[in-house]
Amino acid sequence: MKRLLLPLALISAARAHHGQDFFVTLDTRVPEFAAGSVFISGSWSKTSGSDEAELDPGFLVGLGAGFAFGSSFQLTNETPGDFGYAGVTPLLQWSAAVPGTDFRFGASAAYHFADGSHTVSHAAVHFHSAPDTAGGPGGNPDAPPPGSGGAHVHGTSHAHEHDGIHRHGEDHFQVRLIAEWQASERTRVLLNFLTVGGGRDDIDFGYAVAVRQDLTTRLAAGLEVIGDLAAHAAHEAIAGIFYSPLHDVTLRLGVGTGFGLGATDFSLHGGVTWRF
Amino acid sequence: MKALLLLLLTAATSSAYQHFEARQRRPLGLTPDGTHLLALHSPASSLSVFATGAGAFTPPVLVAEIPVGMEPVSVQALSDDEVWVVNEESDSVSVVSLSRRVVTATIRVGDEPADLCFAAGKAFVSCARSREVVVIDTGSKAIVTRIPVNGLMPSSMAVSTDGTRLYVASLLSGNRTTVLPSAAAPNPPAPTNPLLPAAPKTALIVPANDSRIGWTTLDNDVAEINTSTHQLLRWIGGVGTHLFALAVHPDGSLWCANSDSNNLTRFEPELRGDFVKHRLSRIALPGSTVAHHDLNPGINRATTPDPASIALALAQPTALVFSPDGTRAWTSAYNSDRIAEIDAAGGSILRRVDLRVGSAAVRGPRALLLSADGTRVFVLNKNSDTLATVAAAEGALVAEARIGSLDTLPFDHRIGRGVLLDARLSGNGTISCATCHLDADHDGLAWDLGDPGGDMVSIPSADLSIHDTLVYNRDLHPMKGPMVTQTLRGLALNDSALSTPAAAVVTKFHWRGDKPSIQSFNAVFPNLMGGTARPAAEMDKLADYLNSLLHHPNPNRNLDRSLKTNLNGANASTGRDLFIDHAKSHCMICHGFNGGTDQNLDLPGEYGRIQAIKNPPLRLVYQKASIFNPLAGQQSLSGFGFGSDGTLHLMPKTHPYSLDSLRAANLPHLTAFLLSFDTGTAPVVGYEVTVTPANAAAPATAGDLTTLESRAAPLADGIALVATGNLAGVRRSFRWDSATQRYLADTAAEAPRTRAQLLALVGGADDTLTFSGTLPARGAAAGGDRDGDGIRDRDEAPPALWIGTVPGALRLRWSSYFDWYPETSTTLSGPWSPWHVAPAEEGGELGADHFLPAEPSRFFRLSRTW
Repeated sequence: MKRLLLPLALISAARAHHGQDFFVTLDTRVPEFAAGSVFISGSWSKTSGSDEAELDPGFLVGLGAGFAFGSSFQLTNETPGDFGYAGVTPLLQWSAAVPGTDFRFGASAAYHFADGSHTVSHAAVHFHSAPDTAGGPGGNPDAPPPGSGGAHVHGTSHAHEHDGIHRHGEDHFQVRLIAEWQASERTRVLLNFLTVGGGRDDIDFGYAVAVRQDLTTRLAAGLEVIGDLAAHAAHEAIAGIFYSPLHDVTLRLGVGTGFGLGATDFSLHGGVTWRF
Repeated sequence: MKALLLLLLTAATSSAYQHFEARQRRPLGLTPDGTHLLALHSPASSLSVFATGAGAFTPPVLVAEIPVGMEPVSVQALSDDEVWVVNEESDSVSVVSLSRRVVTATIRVGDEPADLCFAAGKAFVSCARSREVVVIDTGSKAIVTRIPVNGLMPSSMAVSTDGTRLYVASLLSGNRTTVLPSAAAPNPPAPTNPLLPAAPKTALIVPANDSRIGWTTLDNDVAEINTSTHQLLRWIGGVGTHLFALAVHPDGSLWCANSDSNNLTRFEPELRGDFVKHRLSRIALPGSTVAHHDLNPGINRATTPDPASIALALAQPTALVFSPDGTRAWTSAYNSDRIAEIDAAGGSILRRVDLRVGSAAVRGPRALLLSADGTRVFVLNKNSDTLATVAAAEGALVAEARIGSLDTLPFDHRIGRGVLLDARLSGNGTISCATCHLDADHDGLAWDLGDPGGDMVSIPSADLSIHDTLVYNRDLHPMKGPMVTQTLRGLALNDSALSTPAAAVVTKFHWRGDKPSIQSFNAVFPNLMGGTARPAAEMDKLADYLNSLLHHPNPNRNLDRSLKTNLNGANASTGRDLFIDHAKSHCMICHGFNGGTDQNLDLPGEYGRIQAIKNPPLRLVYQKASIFNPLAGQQSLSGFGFGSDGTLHLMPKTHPYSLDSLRAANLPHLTAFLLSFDTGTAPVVGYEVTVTPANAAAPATAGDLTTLESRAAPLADGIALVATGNLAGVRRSFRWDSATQRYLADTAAEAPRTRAQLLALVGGADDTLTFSGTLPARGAAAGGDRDGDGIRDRDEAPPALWIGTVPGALRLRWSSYFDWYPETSTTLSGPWSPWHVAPAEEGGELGADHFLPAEPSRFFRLSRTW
């Protein structure tokens, strides 16, 4: 039930683009027809003494006419001491430039299929006891009856889950509306509006904003902020550097910190993208 | 076997004395003719009636004890015979006939009623928890209307001299402070202990008008109500933080005995010994100008114990009366065991009277009254349950007598409560534990008691919310930031039923669980109060006392303790199903039964906190709901919300922990359940039904009695059910026996009766029986065996009376207990009147010396108080 993990599928989707890299923001650049990229991303986060890691390999291929299709796969340590497969997230993305302007717009739709087998073992912690309901001060008539108290059985298709845009452990869809502004030759500004829903939760909304500055032809820096618009909003800011030793390869490294109730304390991000 | 075990558990639970710590507001009264003093014996659920007599040095005599509702807190006489008693736990008013010594009617009012005033032919009852004033027709006893009073615990009341205005004071009115959330607060200062890491960024207590605060924190101190139209006309602010008593001066001004807390000062070393002022405040009606008179001017606020200051200090003024000419006021310093006479013109203290004489026991002077002729001050000592009589002109203690004949509170509990109350244990006499824990509850404020020079504390905990049972240490920084004052009631009800992992779910105290026991709070005496640490034995008694305190029933539950299916439009029963259904929520993982806490400090990130907090119990959520609204532009009744630091207000998701598959439509139901979370006390405890010939056969009566009887079953609520009243002019008591489904009489000579047989006795015009649900431990005393000796009340042998002489005086001695008092007459045929002596206990007997009477003959007899 680690809330510390950022939205796995969302981040995967954000990383699963073809061109310039971001960590949690999706840009409008998609591969040309028959071109593509493969990538692997990793992150480690810590909140109040608890840490969590994830690894997301994936691919993205161009379909032409501004469309691209891809998928990412999530491996996490959602269960303490149990790093493993957590789900798969296929993605369809489209984007187009606004002629005569520096703006591009796009949209993406993804669906996360959570792995039902990656559930937590509760055998040792089923202590929803059923206290006495008999008379005398202190009892509580609402406690589950003895013997059945707190029967702690998860369905086979669902692990622990989160609400808001930061979900994992349950099937859900993700839709992003993307706006991108080429502010200068070396500067890009991005805005994502996120909608997440399905599964057994309500629909929630979020945002991601990013600024990226090319420093040299091989080196760039970026700042991103992602957050949800739920009552107990959790936001995270990530600063990163992007290095391309070869034209078709980019290495990413970033560090993040959360703000708002329930946010991550600290996170590290990294990854490699190979374009073909 | 299971039933037997439950019965044994119930019996074991019943053996410990428990109570609700009555918040007495007006526990003393006088009949209009001044002949009888009315005093509440709250632990015994009883009204004591004293014959006042005349003369400055005449001790009052206890002449009657009349059962009323549970935890009576205020009493007022409507006439020389009709007296109204407000019962805080029973949520009722008992109408009492003094001549018949019986409750003649029970009027159910609102939740936790506090005070009562008569005006414009009506009775006005303040109901603190439900925040309303209930208006009752004194003739028909019918409720006329309910006036919403949007203050925090509206309690003490007073009526203007012309009777047209009613004033209602908020007990926890606040002090115009609120909390700036940690995200908006500046970084804390660096620790002074070089070994400490940087302090966590915490919230900050700020004035309510701080520019960074976007909401309005109300300062609803005293409400003014039109007694004819029942309109709340205005609120008067700036009076104080905790408003204990109101009194109208003969000149028409309104005075308030109050304390004023300074929680803007940060850190325990800075607060040490100096964070509250005790005051009398004068409101110049009809305006709202407030002038304050400090009861401790010139007190040395030094942080080391200062005997000179301790000998003078007046802490927590809970009562205030004026002399008829208005030149003098008397106030009681509840935490100082003193009363004081004040010059009403300038507020200067003319005289202090020490009530802690004759023994070192803490008295707790809670209320006072002037006798009708103004020559005596009667003082009700709550902690000792005694009545002190002071000669007003001389300031001399005349007598101190028991409020009631039965000493229901265990002796050690009285000592323990004394440790809580006693401001003489502080460095300058102005502070006690009860300064913030009013009546062992809370003060409605947050305080930053962090210590930059303190040490880190490690608390074993587990990440149970993610089902990890490994035990980790949570390292807690001493600069903890603001923490809302927590109640000391119901502490024993929060023990976790869990056992694994033991180190994490073991009982612990404080928001952060950084205190392993009540005894470990001993450091508060030197560190915060500026006094000295208490002996371990005293702390043990304090712990025993606190562990005996219960919560009131949750008013959002049905009488049979079931959950309401329509609470503010939501279904609390559905909410309960969601709460315990782990396929839908994780609530029960941390907020386990019975109290709603597993005592563990879970992952702070899971509940959106910077530092680890013990999963808090949920029993009192209903008390904190809807009083804090920090949204921009909103009005907030309190400056502090649900969270440990005073933030958080949303229900049911007060913190960001995922509610898993709960949908938006589920949330109102979950909120309804949280607002109904069981407090550990069944709603039938304190519930009363007064039966007269007029309603003995009514379906409503039958329904109530059926509920009471069914909930008395050991496997239900296990309460005791008693009936007391007058039948054919005789005081009678009965106790329901669940096993036989019969009512046992107060004499073995009578066979147990069915309910129908008992109700058949209520046939005469003056016959009344009041059925009451009560705590198991009180069943015997209230139900026919007052002293619990196994001999039923009407079978008890009467005492023997001896009359003799000692040099210069007549000496009376009598066996038995305090429920017999001497009467005297010059003729055998009467009339008889109370013999005003102060009896002393000696060798298992009571004795009283008095000057030899001047008459040629004088007769004496003993009469019973009940």
